[in-house]
Amino acid sequence: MSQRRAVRQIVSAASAAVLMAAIFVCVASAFAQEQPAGATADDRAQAFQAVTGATKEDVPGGPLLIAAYAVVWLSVFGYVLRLGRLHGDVAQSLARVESAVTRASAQARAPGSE
Amino acid sequence: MPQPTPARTTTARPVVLSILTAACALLLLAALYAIFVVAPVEKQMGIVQKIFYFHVPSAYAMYVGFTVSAVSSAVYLAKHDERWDAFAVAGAEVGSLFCVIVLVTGPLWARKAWGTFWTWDPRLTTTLLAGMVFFAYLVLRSFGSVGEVEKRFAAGLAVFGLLDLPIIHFSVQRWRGTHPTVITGKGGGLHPDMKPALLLGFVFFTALVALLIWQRARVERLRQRCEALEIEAAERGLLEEG
Repeated sequence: MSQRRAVRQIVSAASAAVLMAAIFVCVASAFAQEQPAGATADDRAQAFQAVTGATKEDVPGGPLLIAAYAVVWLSVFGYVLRLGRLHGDVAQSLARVESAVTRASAQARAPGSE
Repeated sequence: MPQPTPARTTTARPVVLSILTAACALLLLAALYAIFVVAPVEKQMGIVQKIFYFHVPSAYAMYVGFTVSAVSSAVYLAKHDERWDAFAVAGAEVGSLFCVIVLVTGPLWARKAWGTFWTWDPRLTTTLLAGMVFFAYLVLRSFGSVGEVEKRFAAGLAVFGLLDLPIIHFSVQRWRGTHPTVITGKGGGLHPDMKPALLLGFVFFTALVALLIWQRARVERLRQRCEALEIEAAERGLLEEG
């Protein structure tokens, strides 16, 4: 049982590592595209347009982008891990209570138990 | 004297849930490809605008979670059925997860777009308010051995939280703030090459929020059955030894 759990944990960790690597590759490829600058707040709020030609950023967006995606994935993975642990604990408690009740019921039904 | 029936509970994962999990993994890869390879860099904000493709669907997932929680709470108040309470807890928890994501990714984007991490813009403020309402719900439910009164009070709080959701949505139209209105506004909208990334983001987050709520509700149902069985067996003196 604990061996299966260890295997499951290793598989989960490997999947997370592959996913992180995929995100890293995608972000790196996005960095290859050049950045532009300047415009009014209304322009930024009402329309998103594709960049044309090479430009430069004043506030580097890369670290902000990486931080945002890290938050998204760490939060979701953290929650999934918590959910898995909660499910395991509840299933274990339920099995314990069920077996205790079954045992107690069998003893109560046994002849001469009254 | 009748004996308590041991719950014939299965903890096995349904096939549909496994299929949904696999679909989520595939959709995630497709969404990441569309965001970082297909969608172009935005002209005014640069690469940081790519936060948009997960930030907006996260907000949508937050709406779904909180709505599930509020509607399930209302049905629980009317019917006193524990199944609805399980969905209410699941919706509140998953909705809060996405609310945190929205409230963290938004300011990271705002730092570049507005030059500040936070501003008391109507949409930001009302989103924070919704997060606080459902956080209060979770705090209330996290107290040990939650009784009927606490459950009903928490359910009322979730229904109250639902009132804030339309306010978040229409706040940018009613009280024009600085929050972008690219999808719902009258501006230039999205560049055509950006639309597949956003669409895949929405599809992925729909599958993810459904998966998480379903799984959390299953765990909550198991916990409820375990608790009920423990109480019933203890009342009949079957668990005295251990």
